[in-house]
Parts: sequence; C-alpha cells; structure tokens
Amino acid sequence: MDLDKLKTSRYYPIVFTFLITFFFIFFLSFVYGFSKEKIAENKTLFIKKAVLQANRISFESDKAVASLYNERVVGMSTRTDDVYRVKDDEGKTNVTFLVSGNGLWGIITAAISFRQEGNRLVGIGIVSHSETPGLGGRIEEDWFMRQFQDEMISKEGIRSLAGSGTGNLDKEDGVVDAITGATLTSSLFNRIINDTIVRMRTLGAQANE
Amino acid sequence: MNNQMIKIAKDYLWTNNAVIVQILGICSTLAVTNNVRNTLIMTLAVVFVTGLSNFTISLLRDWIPKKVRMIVQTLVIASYVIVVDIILKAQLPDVSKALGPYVGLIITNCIIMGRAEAFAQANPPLISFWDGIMTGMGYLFVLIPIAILREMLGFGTFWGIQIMPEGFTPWTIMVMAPSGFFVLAIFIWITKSLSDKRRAK
Repeated sequence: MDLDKLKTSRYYPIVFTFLITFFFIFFLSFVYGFSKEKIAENKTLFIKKAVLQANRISFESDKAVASLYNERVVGMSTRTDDVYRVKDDEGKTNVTFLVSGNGLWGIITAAISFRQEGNRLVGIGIVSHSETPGLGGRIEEDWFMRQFQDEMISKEGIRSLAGSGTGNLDKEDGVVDAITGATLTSSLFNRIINDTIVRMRTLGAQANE
Repeated sequence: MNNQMIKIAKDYLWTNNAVIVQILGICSTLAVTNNVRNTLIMTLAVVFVTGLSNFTISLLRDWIPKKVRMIVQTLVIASYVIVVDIILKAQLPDVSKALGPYVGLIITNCIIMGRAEAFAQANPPLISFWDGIMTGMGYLFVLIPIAILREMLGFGTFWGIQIMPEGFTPWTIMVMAPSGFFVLAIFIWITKSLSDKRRAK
C-alpha cells in the first residue's frame, strides 16, 4: 500500500484521528484508573487535615490524621452534613463548617471553626483553591491563617483590610490583614468567612428555638 | 549520532535557548517563578513532557496526515501533561495543590508544540527525544535562577528556608507578575551581552 496515496485519501485522516484519540484516551483512563484511589484518599486527607487545622489540633504527620480525626470529630449537625462538632486540644467542643465559595480563579474550599458561643473564630484550614501561587495562594500560609485563630467576631463579621501585609495579630478588633498584591482573593475569601458566620448565627438561633 | 547530540545540547542550553533566545514559553516563565520548589517541579514536568511528546510524535510522523498534524500533536502533548498531573495528584498532593492549574497550562506552552513541529515531524525518535529533553533543560536552566532571585528577594527564603537576615523587608513586587517581566528581561540582556561579546572575539 502506498502510504502517500493512503494519506491523501478522504477517509484516512478521519480514521487515523479517531484511532489515535481512542488509543490515547484509553491510555489515560488506564493511568487514571491506576491512581484513582490514591487521589480520592488524598482528597479526604486534605479535608480531614483542614478540619484539624481549623480547630488548632496539632498532629505530627499525615499518618496520624485519620485516627486523630475519628477521635476528635464527635458529631455532625442533625440538619446538614457539612457541620461538625470537634473536640480540640483544650477539650472544648467547637462547631466546624466545611464550606466552599468563589475565589478569584476557582472554588475555595475551607474548614472554618467557631467557639460554641459563636463569638470567636477558632481557626481556619484550607482544603483546596485555585488561586495564583505566591499571591492569592498565600491564604494557606501560616502568617495569614494565624490571624483568624481566636479572632473576635464583631457585629459585621470579619473585616479584611490592607494592613501591614504581615498579619494583624490583634484578636479583639475583628480585623485581618489582606494579602499584599492579592486584594481580590483576600476579599473573596473574607466573604466566604462572613457568609459562614451568617450561617453559623442562623444555625445557632435555630438550635435555641 | 554523538556529535549531533552534543550540538543539540549546546544549542538548547545556550545558543538557541528556547526562553532567552527564541523567546518562547514566556507565560509560564512569568507565572510560576516566584518560588523555587514550584519552578523545579514545573520545569521537570516540561522536560518530561517535551521529551516524551517529541519521541511519540516522531514515532508517528510517517502516519500523521498533514491536515490533522496540529490536532494530533496537541493530543499527544495534552495526554502526557495529564499523566504528569495525575501522578502529581496521587504521589505529591501538596505540590499539586501548590501548583494548581499551572500544571495543566503546560499543554499551552509553545515550546513543546514548537519542537514537535520543527523537529519531531522530521527526525528519528531517539534524537527527537534528546532534542525535547535538551529544550526542556534549557528552559529549566533559565527559570531556576530567575526563581531563586525572585524567591530570595520576594520572600527572603530559598526552598522555603529563611536565608535573608531578620531585618530584611521582602520586596513583594518580586512575588507579583511584573517582576517576572523585568527579571527575565534583565536575564536576557545579560546573556545576550555575554554571547555578543563572545561572538565579537
């Protein structure tokens, strides 16, 4: 068979493209199938880690996470499945929400934990995000996360302002520093926190009815 | 074979470097180089993908009809990038989380498509593989110094370890996109002056 003649035939490009696409997609599904479980495992690991981080529960390694999680998450809300009751290192039981909201480039998923009295944040743990590495991505960094730990919640919620950019450690003002150069991500992330505060307050009010 | 391999190596590491001479692959150069660890992973991924896609396309070159050439090349490149993405998600989830969407964006890196078109289409598989690897290494050798500088000045760290003294105020602009532009431009300026001087001798 003359290869050149074959290549200029009407059907060859169609058949070839179909076959090669089929082959590569088959190859990819094989690779994916191989790794699917590990990826799902990693995903739940991230969620569990975030819940522990939101409650400032310390753990030495990833291996300890699963058992520590089972030990400390003592209950789930009866109304919805993304609210947990978590016992922290000091023995207090906190209310932790697993929430998602719009970031700048994609969805940000985080665990946000509150004191049972509803007046303070315990902490936040990020599950996933699609923000720019080095800019919006800095929401995961220690200095940024530390601002939320033990922060008092004012009537309007938490405010994110352009501050020193190195972290507002005043726990009584309800204000945190935004990330320098990541104004939008900071304010969108803050909106997720405030929306969760509203949910928490509604849930609290409902529980007291 | 060996002479050709050495020539290719010299070409892509210096004379015809994909980033600083051909000015290709600039978008990713600007985006991920604010951090050495992310940059190393990215550039290794590019080396891997360029080498393998060059190899694969070269194997198929006699069979690919001219009309669907670019489609097939994109398919091959995308497949390898997805493999890298899956491997990162499964084995190095923290890195995958840090790099986020940028791994997927390797598919759009013009360097890879450029090599497929210019070399793999017309050359045997093994040398195409070498060509791909060397092009990727040229890219790596440009991005890593830029990343070291940007991370050092922008965060005060190297690979996450604090190396600048306590009193150092980080130059946050080094973390942002504009610095990618001018650090790269300065890099090209220096390397071009050096190579011009060498040629003049």
